[in-house]
Amino acid sequence: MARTFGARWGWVLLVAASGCNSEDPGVSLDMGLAHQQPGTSLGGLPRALAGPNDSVVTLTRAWVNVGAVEIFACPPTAFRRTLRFLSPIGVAEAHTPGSPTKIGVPHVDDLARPDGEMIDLGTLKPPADTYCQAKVSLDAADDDAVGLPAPSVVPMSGNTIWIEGSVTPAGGGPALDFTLSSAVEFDGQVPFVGASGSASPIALTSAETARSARVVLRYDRWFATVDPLAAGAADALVSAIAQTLEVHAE
Amino acid sequence: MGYEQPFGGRFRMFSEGQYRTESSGTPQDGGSSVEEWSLSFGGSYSLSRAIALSVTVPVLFRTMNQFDLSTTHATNLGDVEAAAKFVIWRDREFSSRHLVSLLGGIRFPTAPLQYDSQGQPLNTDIQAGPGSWWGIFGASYYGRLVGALSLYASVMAYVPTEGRQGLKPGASGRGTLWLQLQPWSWLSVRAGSDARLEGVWHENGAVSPDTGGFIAFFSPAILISPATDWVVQLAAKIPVVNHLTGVHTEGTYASISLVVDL
Repeated sequence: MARTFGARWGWVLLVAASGCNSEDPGVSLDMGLAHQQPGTSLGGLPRALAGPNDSVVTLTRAWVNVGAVEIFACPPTAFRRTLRFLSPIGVAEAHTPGSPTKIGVPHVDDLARPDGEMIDLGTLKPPADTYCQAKVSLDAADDDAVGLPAPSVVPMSGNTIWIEGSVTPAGGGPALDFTLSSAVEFDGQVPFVGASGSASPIALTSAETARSARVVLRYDRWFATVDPLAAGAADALVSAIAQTLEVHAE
Repeated sequence: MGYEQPFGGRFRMFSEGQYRTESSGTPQDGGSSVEEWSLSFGGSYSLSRAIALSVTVPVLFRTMNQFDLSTTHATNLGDVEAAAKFVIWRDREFSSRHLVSLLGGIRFPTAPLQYDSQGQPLNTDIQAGPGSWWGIFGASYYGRLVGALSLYASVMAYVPTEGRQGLKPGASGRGTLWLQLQPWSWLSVRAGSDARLEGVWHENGAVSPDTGGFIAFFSPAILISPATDWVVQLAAKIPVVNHLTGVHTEGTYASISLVVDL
């Protein structure tokens, strides 16, 4: 009897140990990066933009490094705040580099690419929640940045931006060339917006929900207040790029 | 009943089903909870009154839930363990009341690396083993106290090598102290404590968060012998002291096991 028992258990083990696994996907958010301006779709450089004092800025070469993207859940409602207050279990709020809510791989966007063409930044698998905003970090590209141009093309490594172009004064006149490069870092913390431009939180609250969002560089707004020929223009331009970022929920 | 004392030629087979839960990490750092059913099967053979050898083959059924609502199920062979017991002292040759033994063994990296549908290795929390070789060293004491009361104590050290994918488990020390009362030949009750002190794990040279620490359990059990040479054990391990590092908890272990003398 014991030998029969042992033999049967042996078969059970053999079958079970042959190994198998399966996955039920959770929530995910695919993040992309693009540059575009509403109403037009340019195929590449050069790009003519409105500059300060009715000047026209023409970009001939331009790269921007997006160092990280982190998403944030919507603030808890009063009801959820009450539940959290009453709960004896603490909720950690710390964030770490490369967390489920943060993509820390730098990507360099080359404005020679067509408008709207997306670079895949990666897929977040955040805790289930509804997300209202994202923080986009512009910082100096390292040698491992995705899309980093070759040093023979432009010394982008160590720089947050590298912008070349010319300015044509209002009313005409000779165009003045400029080259702007900067290693300063700025963050843009912006809400997710829908196609209409209004706030559009992303609900990732049920299993197998897969959404996407794209970080948009609104290059048409970069020079609204930045004179590329002025002193400190490069650092001011990084700030302007951060302040004009959009994150579109799709 | 329940403590194996070697005598030459004794051959035992055993199987155990166990359930346990464990959770670690926070929503922000990709934490997870694991529910595990395991089925172990093994045998032991006593070469003499002083030496016994055993082999245990586990199969693990694991389900991992993460804060992103994903669920992963895995069934696989665990790490096979071979152990030896050397009785180094007994108070008398027959019907010994006190035995001191040395314990040693190896846990083999038999659990295969498991991959997801994209061919990427699954999370280490659901792998059936870290891919390490483990050296096992320890000592035990068994004593019949008064009447039907006996005591069993052991200390063990588990020392791993580096495993797969840059994973280096932490070495651990484990202690057991049980008191067992056997009022009748067919029934025993046992109570005691199991404790584990574990070093932190490392992954690619960096400390893995929420690993290592100390945990102690209250360990009650009932042992029933429904027939000669058969013992059924129902046991639990209830965590009572949890000083595991970081955000890390273990739930109650529940098990049923069967031992048969052949």
